Amino acid sequence: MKKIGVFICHCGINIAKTVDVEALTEEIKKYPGVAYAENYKYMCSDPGQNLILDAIKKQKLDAVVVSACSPTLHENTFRNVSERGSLNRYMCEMANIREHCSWVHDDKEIATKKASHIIKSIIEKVRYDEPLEPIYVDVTRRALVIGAGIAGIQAALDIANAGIETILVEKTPSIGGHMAQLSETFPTLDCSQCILTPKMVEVAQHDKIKLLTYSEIEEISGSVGNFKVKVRQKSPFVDWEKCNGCAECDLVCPVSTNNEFECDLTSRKAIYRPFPQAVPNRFTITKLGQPPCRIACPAGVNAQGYIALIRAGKYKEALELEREANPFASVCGRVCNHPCESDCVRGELDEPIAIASLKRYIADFGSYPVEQKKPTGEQIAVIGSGPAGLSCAYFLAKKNYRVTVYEAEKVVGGMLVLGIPEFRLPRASTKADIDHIKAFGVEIKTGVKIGDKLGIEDLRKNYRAVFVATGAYEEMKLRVEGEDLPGVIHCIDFLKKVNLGEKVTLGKKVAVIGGGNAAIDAARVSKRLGSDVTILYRRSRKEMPANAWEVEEAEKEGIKIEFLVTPNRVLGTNKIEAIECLRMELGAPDASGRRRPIPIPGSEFKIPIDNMIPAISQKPQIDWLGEEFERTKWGTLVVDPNTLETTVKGVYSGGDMVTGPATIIEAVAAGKKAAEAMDAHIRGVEIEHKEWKKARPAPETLIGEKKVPRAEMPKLSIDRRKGFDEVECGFDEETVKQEASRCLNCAICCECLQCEKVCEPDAIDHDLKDKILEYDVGAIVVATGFDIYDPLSLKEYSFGTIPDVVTSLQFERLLSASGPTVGEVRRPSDGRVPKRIVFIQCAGSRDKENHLEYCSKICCMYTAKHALLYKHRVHDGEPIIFYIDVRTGGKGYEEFYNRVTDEGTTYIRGKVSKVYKDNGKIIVLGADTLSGKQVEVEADMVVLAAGIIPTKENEEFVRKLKIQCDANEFLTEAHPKLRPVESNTLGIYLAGVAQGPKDIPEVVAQASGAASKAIAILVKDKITFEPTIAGVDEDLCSGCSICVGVCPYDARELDKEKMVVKVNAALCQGCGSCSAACPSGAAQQRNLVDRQIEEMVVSVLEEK
Amino acid sequence: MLVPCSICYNTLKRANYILKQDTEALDIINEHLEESYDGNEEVVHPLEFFRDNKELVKNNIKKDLKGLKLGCYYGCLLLRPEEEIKFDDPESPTMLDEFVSLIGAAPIDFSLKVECCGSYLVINSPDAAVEASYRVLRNARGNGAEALVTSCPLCHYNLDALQKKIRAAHPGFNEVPIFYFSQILALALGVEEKNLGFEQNKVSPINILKEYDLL
Repeated sequence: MKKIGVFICHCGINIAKTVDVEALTEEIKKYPGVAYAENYKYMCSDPGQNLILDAIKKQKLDAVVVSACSPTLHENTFRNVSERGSLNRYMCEMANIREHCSWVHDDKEIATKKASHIIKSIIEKVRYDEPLEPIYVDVTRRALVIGAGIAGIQAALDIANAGIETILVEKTPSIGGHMAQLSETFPTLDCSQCILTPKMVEVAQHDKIKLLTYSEIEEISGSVGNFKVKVRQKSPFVDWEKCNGCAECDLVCPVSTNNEFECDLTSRKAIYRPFPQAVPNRFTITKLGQPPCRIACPAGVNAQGYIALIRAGKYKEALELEREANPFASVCGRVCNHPCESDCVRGELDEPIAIASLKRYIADFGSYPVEQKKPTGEQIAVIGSGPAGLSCAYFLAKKNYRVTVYEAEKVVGGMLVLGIPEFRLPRASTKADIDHIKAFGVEIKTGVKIGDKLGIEDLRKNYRAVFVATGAYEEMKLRVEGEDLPGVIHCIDFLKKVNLGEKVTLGKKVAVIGGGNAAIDAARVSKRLGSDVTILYRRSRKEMPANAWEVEEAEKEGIKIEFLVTPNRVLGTNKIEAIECLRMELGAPDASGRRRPIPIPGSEFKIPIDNMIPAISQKPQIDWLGEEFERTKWGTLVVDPNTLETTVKGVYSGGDMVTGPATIIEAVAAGKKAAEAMDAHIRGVEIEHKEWKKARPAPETLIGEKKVPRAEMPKLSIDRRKGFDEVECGFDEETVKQEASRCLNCAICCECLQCEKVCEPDAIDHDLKDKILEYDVGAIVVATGFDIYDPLSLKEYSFGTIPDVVTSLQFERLLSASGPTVGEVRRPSDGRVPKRIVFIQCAGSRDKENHLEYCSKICCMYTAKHALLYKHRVHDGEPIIFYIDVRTGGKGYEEFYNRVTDEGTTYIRGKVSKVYKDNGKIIVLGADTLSGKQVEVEADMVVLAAGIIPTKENEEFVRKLKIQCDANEFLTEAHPKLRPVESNTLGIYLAGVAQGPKDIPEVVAQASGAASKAIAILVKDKITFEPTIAGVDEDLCSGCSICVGVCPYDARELDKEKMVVKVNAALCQGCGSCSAACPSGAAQQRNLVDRQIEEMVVSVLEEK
Repeated sequence: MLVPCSICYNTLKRANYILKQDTEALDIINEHLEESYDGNEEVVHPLEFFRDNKELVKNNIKKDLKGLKLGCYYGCLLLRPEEEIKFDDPESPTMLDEFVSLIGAAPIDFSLKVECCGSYLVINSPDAAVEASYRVLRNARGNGAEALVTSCPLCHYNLDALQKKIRAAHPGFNEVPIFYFSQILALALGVEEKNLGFEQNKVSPINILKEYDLL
């Protein structure tokens, strides 16, 4: 039986007034197991402690119960006493008869009785207590500081100067935080950069500090002494080892975006350095991925890139960029079906950018002399000089291959010249693109049909590889009676004859059958040859595969379209005289997803006609290729989808020949893909794959953006469309620049690579990836800083609608010598010097109902500073400050404030109700509570002292680090008075505004304080943990692992061999969740096992 | 319940709001009523009705208002307190502006369109009401308004009837006719001039309407 000593404290009158301590002592003396009981006025005092010490020694006590205040105050005190008395400290417990008893009751009898129950229950507990030993854990001697504003910088320097390695992580590309944005600091008016940069440089050069900027914390696990940290170092797409900060790239970058450092008073380029004194002094590229237009293009043409270069007036560079992915700039600028425009995000706001027409402009703009190149590499053969074949040849020639293109016809270009009419695609445009391709040394042999004298086997022998791209030009037949009558001309045949200049005579009435682009082309050509044209299509307008804009032009030109009609028979004796047609209706969808046309029986009707042009699709002609070329079940060639290689080694195929009739850009993409595959195979390497990541602005950012209509393409008027002159006239330069400026720059950096071209140290690397770095650290300091409360929510102040209403941080930038106005105070709207500035304090702060309830602390002082600095710069300027109170509690602050009022600043006590524009002037409507009048002030500029809020990442950090934040999301300290730099989690310390609003001297002091706490841990080799944590009774544990999932600290793990759960003593916080969840009672908290709780409950409920 | 007066609308909507939230209060009140109220009535302002039935209004327009420049004055009670009224955005409302566009006039935006006209102060502190109304009218005129349109009889009175006192206090002030929204709507719907109540307007709108050839 344990010999228990009970010591009852009076706590002066705190306990003794309400609890009869004498009677209580006598009662307790008689309680079983109590070897000694005594009471004293102040048990925590020296004599009180000695009393206990004596009793332990003299009475040879096994356990001690001190009945006094809360264990959160003095448990440690009394456990230390026990230790001094050679008693295990965990055999000492406290019974709280103050907070739990004397402080909440008035009735002495009830209170005394309750105190008796409380003490007895603790005696029961202590009966079953076991002597425990503290747990020792090794300490990793390394610190992590999160955030590199002045708080993080100071903490890192202090820890590093104590000789301890420190990792300093900062999310932006440079350290410095908000202090780097300030102009001068109060009350000394030191230049902020001047006092900050020495510390920044010290950090950069310190051998004990590892600086990781543009980095974020991915994951943290572990506990004090042993944290495991994963840091993601984001890719700046610039090699910082090579970059020397010369800023040549900034001059040539064509993309501008928000300038975070200048608070959006001005813009910055996609490649940037946050400010000139940045540490590290390196450039970073903001690249969110690739824009939707580029990803939608089958050939991956960099649309955002060439549009950005157009905006910058760099048409030659724009064309070069376009041609990296697609040699057919003049062609596609006119006749591409532009899938990029369908995905253009601008289309969600108003209309998509005219991407194709912008391409046409740069293709037509200038003729750039191209030096003729002579490749020297292996020889490749290409069959077919359409877009697929020529693109393949182009990409191979650029890689130094000697390419010979065999073309059966006498003209080069395939469907581009044989199919598409000149009023859509002039011959000269196609020639311009073909000439560009030929300049790379591509040889084209016309009039040679492979399969006649020269066979594919000959080519395979004489060339390293072959690309077959003969297209799909064989007409599909209608398979109706009379289809072979004279006067029926099939579409491809018709278009080819016209394009080659052969004479084609058509009658008055022409019918074109079909709904694709070929049918529309045939119809518009027939119209120009003088006929009356009707298109007959068997489905409805919605299902027409032709480009909608082509159909529109055809109808404008007077071509009629009859829907839901199909030819049944062609009538005529020696030649076509009429078509017998059937009406159709739409049934269920077929394989293409379009509704199947079903003939309506008995609906036959006749159309008298002079010519019929069927244009119902084409198919590839592959009969000339032998059996070794496997076919698909639809009769097309089998090709490997990744390499486009056929089943015959070394022979590749792509374009319409493989897919059936498709688009030009898809043919170009196929040519490029095959070229890359052939090249990779020949060199024996893997095909390079670019990783695409779609980037676009969030839909919410488009709300409120001004709508600007898309540039309209000027076209020839209908009466001037008699011949084959090009219908679309093209944009002029002004229109092109305007249209290009509508681009939203979805990915921000567009990979135009202008920066790469001017970077002398060759530091740009657009393929640089994020890095994940892992570290073990012993202590962490969180110094994540603050943001400004969104002034848009202060709707009465018209921020955002009146440009001369700015925030205090923006005003700092205007005052700053390195800011957008070089330190001159100027209005953002017109650059004039403001003669009267109204400063509104508490903009968002101290507003319980609508905004932030708390005081942001720094604004009174910085507003006084702003008024003073304004007055120094503009001698006849008039600063007026509307305030509620002026809070100047720091050292030298009241004196500073007096100086400010002496030097001519007017303070008006009252809030501002509205800032608005009246007749072009800014009016500030407020109250002067000291005189009881309303005040209307005409101002040139208004500065809002916006409240400060914790950075939005705090929410995430609180989860990752398992620390707490308060209702305002500021990090919570362990005790608001006595432990302001510690979080509630051991080993994690707080510094700076992340913990609450404060000014720079307080931040620096707190940072040093947090550093000292971290150092106290890190100088030790081992630290101890309380052993009153969860344990596992291995006999009772079945390995069900319910407790593992319940543990919020990830402190439990199933040992799969023993099938019992193990506890990580360093992580367990003794919360008790596992004890509650465990069905067998195997999980128990040491010195608070189920038996003890049961005994305590019984004791408390006992009537006596 | 269709309520065409801002003050009535404000009172009824807020009372309804309380009764919908506080079932205890509703029970107590029902004990004293002969017929009980189940709390399910909606209080609707005609402007809300017009917003939700644009076609109906459009199809019945007989007279084209030819872009008459009307400053849309909302005042206070139509918009605030936001939580209970929820009529429109209390700082930048657009419902009255959209109504004016709908009936063929041109809505003029001005910063003080949500500021108070002086309200009941006209009774014992008329100078305060004069100044408040003056400020609103000056701002509206300055932004190009040829007349104002409002939905509150007290606002109408202050902005309209006080113009004589405004002119006395601010010489050079140009008078501004004030329409009640139902007047201008009735005009657009083709109601005869004699039934439009213009004799009640202290500042007559006849001249401006004649200028636009609307009478």
